[in-house]
Amino acid sequence: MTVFKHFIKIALRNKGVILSYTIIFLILSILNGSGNVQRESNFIETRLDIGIIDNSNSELSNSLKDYLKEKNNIIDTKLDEEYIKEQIFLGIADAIIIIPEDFDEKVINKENSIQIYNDDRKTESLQIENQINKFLTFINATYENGEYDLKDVKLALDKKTEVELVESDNKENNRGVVDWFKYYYNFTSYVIMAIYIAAIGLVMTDFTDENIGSRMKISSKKFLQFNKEIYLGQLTVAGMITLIFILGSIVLKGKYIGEVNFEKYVINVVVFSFSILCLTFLINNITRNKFIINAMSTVLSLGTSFMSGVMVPQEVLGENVLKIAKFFPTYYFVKINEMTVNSFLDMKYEISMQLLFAIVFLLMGLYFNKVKQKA
Amino acid sequence: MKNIFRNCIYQGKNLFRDFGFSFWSLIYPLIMAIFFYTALSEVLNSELENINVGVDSENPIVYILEEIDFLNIHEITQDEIVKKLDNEEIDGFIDRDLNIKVKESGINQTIIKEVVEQIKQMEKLNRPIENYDFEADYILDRNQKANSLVIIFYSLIAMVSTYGIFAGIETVSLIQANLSNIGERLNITPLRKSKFLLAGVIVALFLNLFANGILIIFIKYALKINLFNEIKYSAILLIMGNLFGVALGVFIGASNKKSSNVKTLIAIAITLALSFLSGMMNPEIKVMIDENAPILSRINPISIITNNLYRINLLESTKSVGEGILILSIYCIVLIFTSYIFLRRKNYDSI
Amino acid sequence: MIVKVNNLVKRYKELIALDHFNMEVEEGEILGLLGPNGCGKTTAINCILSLLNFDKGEIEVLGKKMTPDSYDIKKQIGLVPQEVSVFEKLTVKENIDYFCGLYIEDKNLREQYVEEAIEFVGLKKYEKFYPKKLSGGLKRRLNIACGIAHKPRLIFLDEPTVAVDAQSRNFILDGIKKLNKEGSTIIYTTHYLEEIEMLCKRIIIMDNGKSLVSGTKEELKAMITTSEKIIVGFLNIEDETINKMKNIPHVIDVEKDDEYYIIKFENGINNLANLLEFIKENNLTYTKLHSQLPSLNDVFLELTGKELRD
Repeated sequence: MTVFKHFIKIALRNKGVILSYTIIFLILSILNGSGNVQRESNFIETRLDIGIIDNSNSELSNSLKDYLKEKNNIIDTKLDEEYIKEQIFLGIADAIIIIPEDFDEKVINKENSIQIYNDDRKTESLQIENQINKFLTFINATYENGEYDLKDVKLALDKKTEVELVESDNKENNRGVVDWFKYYYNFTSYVIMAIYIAAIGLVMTDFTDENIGSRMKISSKKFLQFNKEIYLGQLTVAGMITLIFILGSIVLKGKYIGEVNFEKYVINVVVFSFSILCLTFLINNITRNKFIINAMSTVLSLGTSFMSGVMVPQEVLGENVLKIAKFFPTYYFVKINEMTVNSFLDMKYEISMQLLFAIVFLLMGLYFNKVKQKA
Repeated sequence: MKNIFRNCIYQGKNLFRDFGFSFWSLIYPLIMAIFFYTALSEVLNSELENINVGVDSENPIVYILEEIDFLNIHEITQDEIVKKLDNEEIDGFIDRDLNIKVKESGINQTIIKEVVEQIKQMEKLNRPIENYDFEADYILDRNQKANSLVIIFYSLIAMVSTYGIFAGIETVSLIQANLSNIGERLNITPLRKSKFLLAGVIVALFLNLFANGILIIFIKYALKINLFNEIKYSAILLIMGNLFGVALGVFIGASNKKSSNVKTLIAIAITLALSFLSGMMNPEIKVMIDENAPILSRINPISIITNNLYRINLLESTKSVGEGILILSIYCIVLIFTSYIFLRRKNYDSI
Repeated sequence: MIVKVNNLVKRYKELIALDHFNMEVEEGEILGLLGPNGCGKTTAINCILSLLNFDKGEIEVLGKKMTPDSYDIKKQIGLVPQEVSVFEKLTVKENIDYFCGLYIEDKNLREQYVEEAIEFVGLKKYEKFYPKKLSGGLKRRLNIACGIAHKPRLIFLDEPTVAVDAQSRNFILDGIKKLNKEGSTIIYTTHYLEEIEMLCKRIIIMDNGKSLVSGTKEELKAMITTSEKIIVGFLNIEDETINKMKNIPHVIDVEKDDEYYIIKFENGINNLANLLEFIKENNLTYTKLHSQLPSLNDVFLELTGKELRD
């Protein structure tokens, strides 16, 4: 086991880098997955984030504001166009509403009285504009003898309708928690690919730098034995990294594990890790150039993540993108995380695809290794 | 001067011919831009989508709903409801008593609810129908595109503007006798260390700015995304980004004796993490930081560049540029000064 | 004196790398710094060149105290470091031109010098090659060219022939002689005896960070007691006869090495005649007999008690 021991020794020598790399990515994963995990059992109206600037401060404008407050979250804003535009641009606010001084007058004349900053491509804009137009239409409907009937309007607007949340057959009912686990594990695929290739590549270049490769070539170690030990070394390092990420999810959201299909995520991430380890093995047998390895680490991890729906959901990706994504294990990994799995059979296809990739990568790796040894 | 010029030429050749440089500075940003573009092109060109409502064909409300132009009406039978909801073919179902069935809470469902409620509320308000003027529009629409995804591209540009970091690391390693063989050799020539470093910095800035230019041209003409409407401040910011990158590279190079392998990894990890925080992989991260720890995005150099780039170019706001440039300058000065302290040593305890 | 080193001490934490090391080099000579791997040769050179701090001692180069800022001294020095130290992404010619340009500002003169250096190391055919594409021996030649193109007054060569094929090695050694003829003073470190014997007029032997002795080859050999070795193979000899052999005049010691006997003599005349006489008297038959003058290895062995081998 000299090769294995030596590999671990080099890995330990580089533990600072590998660990800090892992920790940086772990923090990124945590940030990426932060969000609300409240359990949803009733229908909840979507409340928009809106800012209101009231220059009129009349009875009418105040009742409009009250109405909007009831339906939406009011956020802070200020009368500064640049600031408002940025709030809309970044999606901090869905809409910013500016009520003019001569508001009452304009409403009676049915003029464009309220300025709204929003993005008219968003459904949210439709919603807020509807709310305002409805309120003002109602107001004008009650206009009689120079007066509105604000009380009547308010009473009418209190009239609600029932919304029933239909239970589906899905056992993962807590959307928030499910989403958290989904995002966390999806993101893990990016991290695993980036770290495996970079960290193990780092150890392997050191390994070669010390000329162990050629010493081994002439030693009595058999080709397969040598590779087996190297692979075992890589497996150990890789296993530790994946373990950190699995533990990360337990530490962060341990109390919700019962509400999600945790085994699905663990099995999936283990299979995925294995297949990426084989990819790493392949890359290390193609090149020992540190620049190419770093380049591969970044390009492959980011590239497959973007194409496979880690960064943006698969459903918004173009069909052609997904066609290319199918040539990488990440696609199948993400697919399992996204789908409802009731038994192992539900994901057998995606799991087998990942394993198939693993085998192909491994065989190609061994092939390149053999070719190199002969050279 | 002649000396520095000669060093620039040779160091430039040495750098430009290096695979690492040409990859990280030239090819990698283009690859990233293509990835982002393929992944986001549909999102970037999103349009307002209609809301799908299921109703019973016998339901009289159909006639009212058909008047509303943002609704798509699907007439379905009772036993199809759950299936259609599950498959997300309809966002909600309205029954004859004007009750609604949905599968999840969301904006579309909320809008359906509002529509149904409006019908009920009009009943309750009990005014003659001719009093309602649905043609009246009380809203003066000030459209501002909410395009947080474009931040990804600005963030990418910000990140690669700091990629002089690699050349910075390399230059230091070449001149330090305890870091490289060439450093040992150069240290016994009459060449002054400061001249070599200065030439290295000039070369790094020049080549990286060139690479940035290529990326911007590629985004503008090949991907056809219009990112730069304002040139002057954008250019200043990019140059500051370049300075910061090189200074950070020199600092990483000078501050420790780790192998260049490790230093490169450190550089990649730092730039990637800072870019991530500025929204490169998910703009929501940026919004979250802005809300919870705004100071982070004011001091993160990549965020400074990203934020100012979109403010200048898309929001026509130059308010925070001054502050940004000031903070970046402070970083550069601090990094260069501390690097100088590390580099001042002329002979070593060990080589 | 072109280089003068007095009582140089350099410690790496616990380890003493240089222990009161002394060295003097005359203008125009080739000085060999000989010692086993790890004895402090490179450390000594790095200290002389002000690359390394040292704890004690004085160093003068070209008559002045050497500091990291002695640019006027550095202008007249050339170093060929132990490791190949060239820019990976510059061609052979560009590398030589770059390093030469650090000394020679005049463009025409530089062009001439660079051409001469390329000829000198025989890399004309390879001038457009990148170092990566050169064989080990050719890389070493490039390494040398980069250090000497500017025709320095004083050249340090730190084991320039390690891991070099025989052809390149001879090329390099001939080149060094030529450089010296052209007027450069040369300080040459190595652990190969043959090279020192071939090149150097004067030698300093180092071990454990100390300069043990210095002098010309002849002086060094004269310093040790053994002055001649006669190697004989006998067909039939008994231990008793061997012991008797030690009574021959001037014999210091008799050793058995495989099938041969090495008989060491101190300085004296008629050593061979006396031995032949002895053989005749004792009716011995010998298979082989030859005389050997002491080598530097003998000198080294006697001084340090160990062999000087890789």
